[in-house]
Amino acid sequence: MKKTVTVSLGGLVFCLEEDAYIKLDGYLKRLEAGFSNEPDRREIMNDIEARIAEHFREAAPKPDDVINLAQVDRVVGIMGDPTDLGAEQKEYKATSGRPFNSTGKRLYRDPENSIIAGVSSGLSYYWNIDPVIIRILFVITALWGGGGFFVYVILWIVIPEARTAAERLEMTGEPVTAENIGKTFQGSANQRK
Amino acid sequence: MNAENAKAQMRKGVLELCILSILSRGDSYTTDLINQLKNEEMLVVEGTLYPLLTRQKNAGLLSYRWEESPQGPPRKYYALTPKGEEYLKQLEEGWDKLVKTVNAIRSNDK
Repeated sequence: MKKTVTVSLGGLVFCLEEDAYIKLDGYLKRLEAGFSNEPDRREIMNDIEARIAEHFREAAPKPDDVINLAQVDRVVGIMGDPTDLGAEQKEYKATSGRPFNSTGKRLYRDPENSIIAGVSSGLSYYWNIDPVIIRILFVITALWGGGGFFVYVILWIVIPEARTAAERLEMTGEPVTAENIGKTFQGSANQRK
Repeated sequence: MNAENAKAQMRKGVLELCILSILSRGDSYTTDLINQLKNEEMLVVEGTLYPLLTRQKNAGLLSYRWEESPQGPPRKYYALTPKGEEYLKQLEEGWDKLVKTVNAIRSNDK
């Protein structure tokens, strides 16, 4: 048994299973965020929602049909990931100026596993060592002369936070593909629960 | 370097020309446009089309109107404006020239 969520999409009403709804909601939000540099992003989103509604209507023609996760996944595959759509382009350019290290990672602060600002967790991905070791070093140097404190604050200011799924993948060194971005997104959706 | 990537870039580059070209033969509803482009394998993911259509509309190349549909909500029909026709002509000239140049380079190579 599963809970369902009723939504209005492109002027039609659909009933979605809860996990399907979370996936779709996240997808639409990422898409809209990706179009943040388009002046008419609301219009683009309305058109895309109308098209998704057409796909759903085909998959679930009867009024009491329920849309499941597999159907949402199929439609997301047809519509394409924000990074494929030339959306997120601006964000992407902003990050692409910075170098990757030898293992193909880029330095970010990690907001999802942070104690303070995610500096240690971000460094631990970059150097592939346990964040606890970095945290201990920061604490020791902070207590012993205070250097660690200032270094931490400077790193906090200088290192950008990994905000988008693509940036998280760059931080962990995984290839930035549609599938991985989906996985990252689902990971953070689960964490929020 | 990845051949699939390069091919995707090529398609992306001429997608604009293809949209205008299809619309020059008559007004079209977005889904018809998608189906035609997909049949010709010009479009891999459908979402690509929407920001492009909106940009072309904002640039004054396209106009649209709403039409009632026999089933479901009203549909958006796009049409080419005179400015769009002019623009299409320029793109077509550019394309013909490009094909000629590329073919010339390729035949010289052998």
